[in-house]
Amino acid sequence: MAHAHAANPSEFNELDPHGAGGHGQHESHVIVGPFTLRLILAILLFFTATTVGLAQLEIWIAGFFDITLPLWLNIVIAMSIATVKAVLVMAYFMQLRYDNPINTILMGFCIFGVLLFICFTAMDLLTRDRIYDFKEGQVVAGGTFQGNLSRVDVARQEFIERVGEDRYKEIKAAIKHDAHGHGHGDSAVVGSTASKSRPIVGTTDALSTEPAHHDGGHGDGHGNHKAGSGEGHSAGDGH
Amino acid sequence: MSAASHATGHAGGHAHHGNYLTPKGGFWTTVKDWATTVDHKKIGIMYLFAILFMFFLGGVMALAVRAELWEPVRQEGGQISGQMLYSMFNSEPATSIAEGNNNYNRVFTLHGAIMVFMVIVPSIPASLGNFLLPLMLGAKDVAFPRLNLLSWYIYLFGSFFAVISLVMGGVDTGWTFYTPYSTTTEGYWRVVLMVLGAFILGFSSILTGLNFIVTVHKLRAPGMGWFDMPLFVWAIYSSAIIQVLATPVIGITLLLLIMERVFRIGIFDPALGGDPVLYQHFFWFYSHPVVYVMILPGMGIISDVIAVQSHKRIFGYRAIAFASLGIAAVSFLVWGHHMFTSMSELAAMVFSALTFLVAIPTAVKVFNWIMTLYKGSIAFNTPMVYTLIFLVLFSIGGLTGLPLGTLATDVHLHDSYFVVAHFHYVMMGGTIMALMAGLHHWWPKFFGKMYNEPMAIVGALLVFVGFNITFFTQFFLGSQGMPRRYASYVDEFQFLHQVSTVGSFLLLVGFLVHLGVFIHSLVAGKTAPANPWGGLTLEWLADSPPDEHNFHHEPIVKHGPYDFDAVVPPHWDPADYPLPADVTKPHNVVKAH
Amino acid sequence: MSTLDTRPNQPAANKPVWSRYVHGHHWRTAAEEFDGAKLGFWLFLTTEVLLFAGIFCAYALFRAMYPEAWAEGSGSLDWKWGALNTVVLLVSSYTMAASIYAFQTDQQKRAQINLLITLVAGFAFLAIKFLFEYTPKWSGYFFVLDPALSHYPESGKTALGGLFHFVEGYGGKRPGELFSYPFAESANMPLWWSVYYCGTSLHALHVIIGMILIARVYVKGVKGHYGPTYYTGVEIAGLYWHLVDLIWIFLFPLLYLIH
Repeated sequence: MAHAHAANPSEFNELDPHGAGGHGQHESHVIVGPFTLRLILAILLFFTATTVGLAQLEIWIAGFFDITLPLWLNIVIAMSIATVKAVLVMAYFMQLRYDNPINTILMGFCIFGVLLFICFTAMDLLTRDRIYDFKEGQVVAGGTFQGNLSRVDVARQEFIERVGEDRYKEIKAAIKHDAHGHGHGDSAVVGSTASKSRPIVGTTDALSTEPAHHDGGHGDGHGNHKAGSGEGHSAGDGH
Repeated sequence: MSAASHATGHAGGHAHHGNYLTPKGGFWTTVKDWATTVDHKKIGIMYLFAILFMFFLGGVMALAVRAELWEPVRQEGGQISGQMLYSMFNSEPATSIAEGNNNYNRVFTLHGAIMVFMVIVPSIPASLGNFLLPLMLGAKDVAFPRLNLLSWYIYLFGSFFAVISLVMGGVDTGWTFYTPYSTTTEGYWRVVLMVLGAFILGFSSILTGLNFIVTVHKLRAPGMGWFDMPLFVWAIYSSAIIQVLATPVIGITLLLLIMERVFRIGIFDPALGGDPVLYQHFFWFYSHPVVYVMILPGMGIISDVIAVQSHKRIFGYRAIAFASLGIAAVSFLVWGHHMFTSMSELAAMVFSALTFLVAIPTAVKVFNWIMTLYKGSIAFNTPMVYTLIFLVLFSIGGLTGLPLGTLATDVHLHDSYFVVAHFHYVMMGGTIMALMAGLHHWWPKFFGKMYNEPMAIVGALLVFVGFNITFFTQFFLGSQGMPRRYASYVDEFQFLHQVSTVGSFLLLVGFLVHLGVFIHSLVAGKTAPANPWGGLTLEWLADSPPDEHNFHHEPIVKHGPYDFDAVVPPHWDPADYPLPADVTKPHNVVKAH
Repeated sequence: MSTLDTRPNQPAANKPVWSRYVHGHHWRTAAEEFDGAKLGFWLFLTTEVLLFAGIFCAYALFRAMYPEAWAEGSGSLDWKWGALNTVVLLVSSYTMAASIYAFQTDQQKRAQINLLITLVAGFAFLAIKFLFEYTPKWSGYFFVLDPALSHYPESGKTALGGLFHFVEGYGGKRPGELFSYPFAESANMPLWWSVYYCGTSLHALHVIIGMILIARVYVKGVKGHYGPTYYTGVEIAGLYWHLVDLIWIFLFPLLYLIH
């Protein structure tokens, strides 16, 4: 965008110090035509499809070929695509590309602030165990909601008290079974989860192994988690 | 050259008809006019009185705290003694120490919350900034006048919630609302209301800052480049950037805190798997930069006052301007030093190192101010006295920050009275003293009345002495191990506590003297000339008090804000203002663009 | 990009409202005012981004601390609803930008239709969010849309001849203390739901605010307040709506796709 001044720049106009007359109506009122807008929309939809597709592809690869992609790949791809989409929205829909550069600078500062906030906070919270090992993890995983039990443990116990141990295990097994992608037609309704459409564990090794700093203060959940991971893999293989 | 600045102004003796203070009609018409005004000057004045009222309220809390500390709470032969606060609120004698301590906790919390959220943060930007920023820029108003009025009502609305909470019995969380205490302590709605009040006040702060940034960018008078702006404007601009970038984070923090308290969502509560240190990061990401929202405008006032009252070009204009921006930038990097003892060793080291960066731009400013004083023709009036007080107190406050920023010493000093003394020297010795300097400096401009100079100086000295007696003792208390936020203490500390309490009441006397001076000035003060101090910035071009539209004609800027060696100040007779003889070719008189 | 046709030769009485717009007395030109309004609003948008930064920060750190909870959490969200909502918001962003174009070229009818589509898309987003995401998760019941009819023989209740099945989900997947789902694997699942609900509900709140702004712009547009020389209000509402889109562009992969 060339900000052409109407007057010779070397001549200072007292009544128009900022050269407002030079870039008045024409400069600030930019028209972005419908073709550009539609093109951008198409690109954005394409990227949405791509990012969803790649995420599904990863799960499919893990299940079908038993190839575990590194965890960071998923994050980097998804966030890169999101960033590209965001830049497109800002540049064209929000017209930053045609706008006064101060607005872009402002957004730059803002993004920098966000990164600073997250990175510096991470620098503290994620390095607690660098010098003293005992500072790692949670004293009781999930917190001490009741005594030494986390909210999850309490919810589980309440449910078992309500329906009984056997029924609990039955439903749990069914949920696991369904969660590993055995279609929805033949599954028992207890296992179907409208809000759960893909495996909850067992997609990648990084997910199914217990993280190092998880101290497993709650025996029950811990054991189940391990068992679930194993089951997930066998289900994946058998498919 | 002087004609240039006179060209658009009116003579000093201009008849004051139709200034912004002139009532529009009867009482109710005037009330309605003020309640619905979009005039930045009226909004600034309303803010000023609201803030002074809140300052009074917070001050009462502070005196209550100091009175309580006259003697420690202790049990003597089955009797609980030393609970002044408790007996103020209750007719029955206390049966346990905890009962009295609860009152103490509430009072110091309210003192902190009121002083921070309702006084110091909005103090200078919202009152003096609102009034002066457009005047100094030669603009007719701020960029978004209606938004300005909205931010005033948001301020009232937020304060209203806080006051409701206070009336219901107050909160005992400390002004920082640290979790999980703040989400589990008694007084369910009181805490929610107080936090909601602070949350709403944040919006007011954001809107004010946003308004100022756009005003500075878009509404400078013809001929005013970035480096022709008064340093007060630079400071307000810098603090506005912080307000806009940092305040939203306290918004989400307090929102999550309310959710946490109402729904127990557990993000900050370890009982539900959350992380209380995360809250501290959230809180201080806002609350450290906001320390500079408090002090930067004060520094701006000092820069302006020191140049005008020593009638000398400010030393190192650009250095001070960039130091303002530098402080604003560094302010976002150092929040961790409020939580050295709760964070990881690695992060603490990084934050400690970064903390010392603050010293650089701050020292640049202080040295430049002192160099400005050097060989200036200094007028020893109240603004200048307060400026000198600021320099002394702020330097002490800044230097005592160093041991707190150093990890090894901070382990011993954290959460002690040393910290209390340190931030009072910076907050009160810095911001409030600068506010007092600015208030006296621009008082004639605000109200068109002069104040009683000798009495004001007496008040200033009382404040200075009282302040030091109150807070310098607390350095000793802190370094000897007196922890903050306790109603009880061991007997060895009683003498110093009593000295501090005496000082605090001396402070009260000082401020009462000022109150008297202000009331006297409004009722019976001499009519102020348009430019009583001989300032060169544009607000002195306007009448005192200014016309409703600020200037009679749009001013055209032809000289820098502090060119005292080259330009006769507006409304001054050149015969009374001999320029230095050795100035043969004054620079900046006519700006080359 | 083209310059404007301001049509100066129309008779004054017939001139639409927008062409009679007078800028505020403290601004030098209408263009300056427009620029200033945009700068002010961009500043406001930075505050919005930083508001969400809190959510993103909590998300990132808890994810780093408790990856197993986050994997389980994102696994229990249906990416299809998320993707659908992404498409809805992207399309609405387009129609919003298109309405600005229409106002700039004085095609009032087209602008109004585009604004209406944007509003409808906003409602659709909220409907999907509340009906298909919040309600089933929060209540512990969810309903399954079953086009094949009677696909789920064991469901407790049906509606519309078996098109909807109401299925018990055994407990609410809710934030914090309200959590009561018995089959969570990770002990930190309530934390995931806290971040999920805070992030998405704060976003939904912004959708609602955006819709209010757009409705206001629509009403003023019908009255003829906006046209080639004055459309600041539309621009502002548009910027806000795009911000809502921007936030969702990041929330969607973070919540639904990354595990």
